[in-house]
Amino acid sequence: MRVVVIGSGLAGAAAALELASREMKVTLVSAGVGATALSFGSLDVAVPSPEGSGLPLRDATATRLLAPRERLAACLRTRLRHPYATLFGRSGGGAAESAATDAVKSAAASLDRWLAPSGLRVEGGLDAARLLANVHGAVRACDFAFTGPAEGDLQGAAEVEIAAVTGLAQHDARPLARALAAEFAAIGLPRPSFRVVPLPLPAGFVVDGGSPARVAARTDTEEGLRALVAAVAARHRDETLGRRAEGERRLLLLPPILGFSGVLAKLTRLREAAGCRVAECLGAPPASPAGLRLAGALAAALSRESVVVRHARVRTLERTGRQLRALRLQSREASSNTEERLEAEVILLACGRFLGGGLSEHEGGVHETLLDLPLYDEAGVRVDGSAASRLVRASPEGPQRLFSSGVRTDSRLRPLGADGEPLFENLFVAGDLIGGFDPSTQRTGLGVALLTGLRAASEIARLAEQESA
Amino acid sequence: MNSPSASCPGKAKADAACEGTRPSGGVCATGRWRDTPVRRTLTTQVLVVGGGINGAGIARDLALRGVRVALVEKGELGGGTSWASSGMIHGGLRYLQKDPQVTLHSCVDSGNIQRIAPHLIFRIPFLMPVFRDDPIGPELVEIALEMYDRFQPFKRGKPHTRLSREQALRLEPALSPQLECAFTLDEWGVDAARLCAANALDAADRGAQVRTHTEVISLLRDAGRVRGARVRDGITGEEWEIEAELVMNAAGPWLPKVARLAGLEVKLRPGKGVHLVFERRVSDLAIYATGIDGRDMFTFPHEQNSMAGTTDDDFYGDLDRMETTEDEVAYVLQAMERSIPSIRRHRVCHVTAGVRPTLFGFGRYEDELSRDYQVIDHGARDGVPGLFTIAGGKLAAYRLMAEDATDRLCARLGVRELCRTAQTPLPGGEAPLDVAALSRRFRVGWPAALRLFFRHGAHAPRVLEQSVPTPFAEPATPVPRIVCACEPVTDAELVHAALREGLRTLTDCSLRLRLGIGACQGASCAAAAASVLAEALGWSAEQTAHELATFLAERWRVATPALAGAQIAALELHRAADVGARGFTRGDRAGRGSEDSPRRSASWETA
Repeated sequence: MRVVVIGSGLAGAAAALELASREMKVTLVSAGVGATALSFGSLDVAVPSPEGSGLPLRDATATRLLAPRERLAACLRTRLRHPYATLFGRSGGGAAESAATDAVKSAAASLDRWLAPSGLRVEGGLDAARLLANVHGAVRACDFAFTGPAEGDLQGAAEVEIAAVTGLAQHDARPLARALAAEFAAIGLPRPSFRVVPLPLPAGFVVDGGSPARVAARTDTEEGLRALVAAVAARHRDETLGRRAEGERRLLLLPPILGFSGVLAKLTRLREAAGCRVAECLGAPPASPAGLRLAGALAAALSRESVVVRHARVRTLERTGRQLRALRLQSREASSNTEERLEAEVILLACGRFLGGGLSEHEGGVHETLLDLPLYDEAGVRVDGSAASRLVRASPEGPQRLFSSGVRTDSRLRPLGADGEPLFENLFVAGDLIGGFDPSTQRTGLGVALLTGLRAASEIARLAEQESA
Repeated sequence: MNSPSASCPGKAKADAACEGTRPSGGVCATGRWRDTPVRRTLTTQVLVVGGGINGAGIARDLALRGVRVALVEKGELGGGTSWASSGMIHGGLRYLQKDPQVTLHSCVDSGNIQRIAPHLIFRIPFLMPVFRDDPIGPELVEIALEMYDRFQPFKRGKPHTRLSREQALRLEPALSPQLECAFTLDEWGVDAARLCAANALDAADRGAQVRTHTEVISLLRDAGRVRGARVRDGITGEEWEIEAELVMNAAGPWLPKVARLAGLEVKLRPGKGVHLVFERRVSDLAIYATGIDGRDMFTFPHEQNSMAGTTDDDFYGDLDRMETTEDEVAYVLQAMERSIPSIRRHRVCHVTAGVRPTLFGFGRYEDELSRDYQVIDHGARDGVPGLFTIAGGKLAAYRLMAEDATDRLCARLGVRELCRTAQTPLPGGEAPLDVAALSRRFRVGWPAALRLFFRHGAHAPRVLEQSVPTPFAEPATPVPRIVCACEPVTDAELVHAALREGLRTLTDCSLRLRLGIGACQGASCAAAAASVLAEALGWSAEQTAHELATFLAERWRVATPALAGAQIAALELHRAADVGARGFTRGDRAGRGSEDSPRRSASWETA
């Protein structure tokens, strides 16, 4: 059965890889980068707090941080239109929670398996969050994180050394250190000591007004990496810095400059040179190679599993009644304007929201781009056709309907029409395009992408079995 | 009070540089003005209320004539009407028929402004398309332009030309093919906020006390006479008094409120104007467009963007909580579409809104009201000596208005000095600069050097010397880092503004340095800029987080009214980036419906 996945972010790629592992023929159509390629290095599956957003992430007695498992349970209990409710059921009982935790564990393992050959691992779990620092000194509690930032858990570190690279833009070590100290005061956990240490890189390493992307690219070369390793080793040997904690209790926090591939190997060398843990900060725009690393590793995995990837934009979908038949593509590779027709027996829409192009504005109202599927916000109110400016508030604080809206689905991840029935027999949807949650404030963006991508794949596989039977 | 970190090397260097070389005026005392406790009473000759173009211009003129002056501005310099204007030093072709006085003054003074601040001015050629169903045919338009040509030499403008349809379309392919013919004419644009700042900084250099984020809360009276004001610093909360022989009310649309503090009424007809700002240049020339009600508007290239506008509507609302409405956005876009059919494909990254302090006139449409100005001596008019007000006017004629006002103030003070503001260059306007050499010497890209020159003129090298020496820096001259890529803005310029120009908040940077007003609206640069300023001004982590939140809230507030097309995806990304980068200090209030969206930074008690 010919399956076409539209969208190469985490949702689409995970679905395609899962289908490929079940020996199904998959074509993936990618129009470009979207939210996945712009992520910062963590993979969150659980909301930050019981209310769904807002801090602190503490239990009722405020004595400790909640584990991801507990927050996931809280999300299932309180957020009834969240895609997790669709996937795992709405009951408050243990069944939904254990289904969710099993799915998360299995999903993380699958993703780790796919990314490992590119030197990117998935670290973390549901028992305890990692407290990771970002490039401006904010601390995030992350459920999972990718190699690079993942090793930077501030808990359990007695000393944190913040590397200062001369002339690097978007990174100021001393304000970063002060911000981290303030964060720990706000969290109320025992504080590591923070210290700024210089990392002298050779002249010409930092160029172009300090562009972080250029520096990151340098460490992708052997010469650049060797210079970085040497600088780190020099600091380790520097006795003027006094007596320091050894091994796991000391953490060297680098700016996000570890390049776009092979991060695991780089970190191994740096750890040896530093004699302690080494990690990268979580990114923030424009200094965030983590998203591009993830996108690159997913692309490499797709290629290894022989998934056919077409770089094209989908213009329209052809239908006969309640069956979708084919896609009309506009190739991004060719310079001509000819459209190509691609037949499909099952289509998975994983094109994200506005950033990925799944949602767009048309004649003064927001719409789902390809099929004008009805869109619903977090409260279940229909929003397609409304002007975007009316779906946001004048203040960035507070719920923003525009950014919690998307397509509504049944439990099999098929998009529903206004009457509550699936509009098409062979259409599925995964990722951010599903509405009912806010990926930014609820921090479940990549979690939803991964879990719905894998579930959509298993639904499609089940459909294939039924058809062949 | 949070004293700036003594270990900040850049600040120490700036302090040392200024030691003994400047009178201890307010702004240029490199942070010293924040360190020293504010004296309970300041005594001066003239207190100017309002740091917009008129207030700054008057303060400068007074200072140049040796008068002791204090200038207080309740927000950021130029942050009221001046910054929200079209940013054009233009003659006002429109006023030829009814108000030729205005056209003459504006054109003559445009020429003066060019002479004293050539680096702040840029040429904007205009293109006026004529359509078949236009109320005025091309012949009449050409007559008006021929009249206007006679004023052009005052401002070094070129005479008009007439273009055929084909010629116009070749020049600007985005024009509507419905046009019959087109005319070109010449105007000048200006960075209005920078022009305000330049005037205020020049005044401070010459001994004036300039304080931003300082509001007049009451006037000091002595029987009927006004003898000064009580002011409040919006950031620290401190209150103190300024005693002055004369008070000049140059508060723009807020001037009736200030006048009321003396029990006086000054009537205005405040006229609201909005602009849509595109994230890049939409056209090379400014293009005229006609609104559904026959009003002239234009889409014009301005600095790194294009702007479309403007409107003119009687305003009755809260000046401090002005919002741009859907109607205004739709009205402007509808007009632009007639001249540029593809205009809606371009991304509006934010909107600006401001209110003109137009002189009162009954029974006329907003557009038809006089743009002339008035200097009111309340001693003569109302029997309340010691208070003057300046109302009305145009940005282009500010220098002339300031000269007139200052003449009258000086007459009252018995000061006989003559006005020299038309001859004396503003800071940076003294000489041209070799931008290529600047770029090479400081190892900063040519676009960044050029933009720096546009803001600072001949003083650009001094600015780049403020480049933050990151700790343990090896090279003797630290290389400036690019903080805002859209403009671009270097870290050196941020530090210079903080230490040498009295910049106080991150939000001020949008006006003073054009930080974060381009395509990224601060998503890529605000946090980094906050860190740089934190180092320079000694902000705590909490204050830094507060500054960042206020800055981004303002950018959001001005991006949402015109939210359409690709801007939605941009806002989605910016929001995800901001929320995603928040930690425990800034908190994640997004889940709880928080209603407070302060337009200006709330009173912040520095710990």
